[in-house]
Amino acid sequence: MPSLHGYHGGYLRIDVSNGRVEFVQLSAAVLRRYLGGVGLGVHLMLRERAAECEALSAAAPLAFVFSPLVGGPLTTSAKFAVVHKSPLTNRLNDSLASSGFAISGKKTGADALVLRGAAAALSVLVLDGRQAVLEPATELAGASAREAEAALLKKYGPDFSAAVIGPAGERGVRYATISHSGRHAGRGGAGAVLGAKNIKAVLVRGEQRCTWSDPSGLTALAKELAMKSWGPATAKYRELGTASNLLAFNRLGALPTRNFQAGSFAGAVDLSPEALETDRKKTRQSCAACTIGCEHIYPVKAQKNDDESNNTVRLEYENLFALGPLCGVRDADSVLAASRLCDDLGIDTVSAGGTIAFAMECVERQLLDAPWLRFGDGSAVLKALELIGRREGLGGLLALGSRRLAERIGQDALAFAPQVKGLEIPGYEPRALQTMALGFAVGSRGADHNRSGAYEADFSEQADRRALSPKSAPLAVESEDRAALIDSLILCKFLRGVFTDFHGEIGHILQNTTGWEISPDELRETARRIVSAKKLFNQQAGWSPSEDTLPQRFLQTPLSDDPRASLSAESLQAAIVAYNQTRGWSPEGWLPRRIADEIMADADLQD
Amino acid sequence: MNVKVELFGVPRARAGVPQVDMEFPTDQTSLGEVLTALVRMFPNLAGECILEAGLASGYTANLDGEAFVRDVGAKIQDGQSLLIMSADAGG
Repeated sequence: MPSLHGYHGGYLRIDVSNGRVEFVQLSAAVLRRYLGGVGLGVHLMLRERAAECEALSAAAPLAFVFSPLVGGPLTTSAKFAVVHKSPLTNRLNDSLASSGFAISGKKTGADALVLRGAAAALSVLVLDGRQAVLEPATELAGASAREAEAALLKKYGPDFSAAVIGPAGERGVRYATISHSGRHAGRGGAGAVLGAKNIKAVLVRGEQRCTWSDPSGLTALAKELAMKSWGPATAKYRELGTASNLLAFNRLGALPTRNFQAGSFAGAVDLSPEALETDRKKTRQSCAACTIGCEHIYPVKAQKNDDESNNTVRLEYENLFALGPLCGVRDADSVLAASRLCDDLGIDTVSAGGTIAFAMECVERQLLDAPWLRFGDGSAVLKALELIGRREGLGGLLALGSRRLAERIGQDALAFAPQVKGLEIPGYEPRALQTMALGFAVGSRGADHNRSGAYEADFSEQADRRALSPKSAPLAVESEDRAALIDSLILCKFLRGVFTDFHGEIGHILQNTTGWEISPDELRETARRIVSAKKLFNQQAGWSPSEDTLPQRFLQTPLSDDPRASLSAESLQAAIVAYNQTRGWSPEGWLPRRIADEIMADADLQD
Repeated sequence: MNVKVELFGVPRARAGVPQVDMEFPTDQTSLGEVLTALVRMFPNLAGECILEAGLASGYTANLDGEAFVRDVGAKIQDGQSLLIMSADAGG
């Protein structure tokens, strides 16, 4: 194989039932067609036939995927993707996290780590270069993600990086996360997949670095990007964090409240970053290799059994929305404590908050017998989270996510379960932001604001945010394609506002990294291929057109506090057909044979 | 005529106030005229949030919670609210 820049040219397939490691080569052609991160991860899932596996079975593969930019000088490039079949949706899932694990993981000498099998007992997978050892981890059983990571780094040394699960992952909570350095590959249940393999943590260390095609050119581009990243396009993240828009969303009636029964929340001001800062000492942090610094760390008031010396939490918009307004909670201390508890248990805050809020409405409608679980009660949210973490009592049901809970409850519960394909809807009210509604409906991993940023069109003069139109489909496609590239490179989406010529600048970065001359048209084609590959995986896993939709609540009931925010099933269906046709798929959303065959030919390639 | 300007996020931090009522000696004004008047009242908005040509690229404006506007010629009527916020809605 000719020398590759930016890549090692293969992945490690690791059988965690016995520690056996195999290096599987990847051709330059495949790497160029799928780049890295989410794109390469989808390719690996097709190649490893993951769609055929039950998500929580030993046979199901789970991939940690790096990218050609990891380890290089570009700001925000220290990222990794975790890709697998989701136990929440039974569809493709890809989640991202940042920092040292990406850098150390790539230095093992591989572009991805694919875990298969299951250990006989709770274990830690220690990967030192390409050598794997399974170590017993029974002493870590039940440990929080934070405690487990600290204990492992103390035992193995600081030159290792660890990706860990909390007690929720061990117990199979279907929206458990994989955590590294307090950041989470959060959505879709990667932690449950790792837990089903009896792996508490993956530790990585290595010394193999990749070369760059043009190191001085790449360094110059990195300096330029870093300079731009300090500019006004990212000021909101630096100064107020991701929660910066909470009050604007509230003003526009786009802040999901009380399980999507309203779009504005009377207590929003109490939860705004502006209010939180007035009487709390906030600190800021950045991921490794990041110049933006969006993380705003707040102290948490002590709960029972807490270690007060380290009682802080990163506060994100999604935590705040899901554990606050969505559950009707306006007490900031409760929301901060709930965010922290989610981190410790290792669970996705959006799915946790969404499922709890749904259960609260079920209690209100007398569909669920849990009178203590009431909207507005922060202590009830904390109690529910603890039960979820232990899968005890009602927590056993809540651990399934809102769709499965609704199916258990029956009657009309599914109509107001806040999910698409089983993934809980993030903090963007679909009736008030209808291009985003389309993005949610067609999203390959379910309701998703990271793989489709279509809300940006709703926040502009390009769209009428309360109506779908012929423009909606191309706007949703463009947003999804851009995300596919950013998530495959992998760079932080908070940089998106600093590019003036996105495809041209990305092409230059890739050329200086890999040596490939990649035109904007090739990048656009790559993005479309990656999105189609996700759809192909889902088709193999049993996707049908009927799942590209929104719950009936959103299609039958206008927003209570903004009656003009109304979305009909007919208009959504018309937009979905237009979306599918814009993609070159059938009107129902099936991939044409030609596209499917081309993607599978990549996956079947013997390198 | 009166226009209520509501500020969110960084524009609010720069101005130091969540909202301001502005008066104009005409029956109708424009986005550009309101932005110019805003910079006179809150000079910290200049350069970062508001440029001579209008809103900086990272920011957007909305009328009454309805339509988003960027064109400095966009008309603003008496009694309308102008919201100024980050154009980047992500979180």
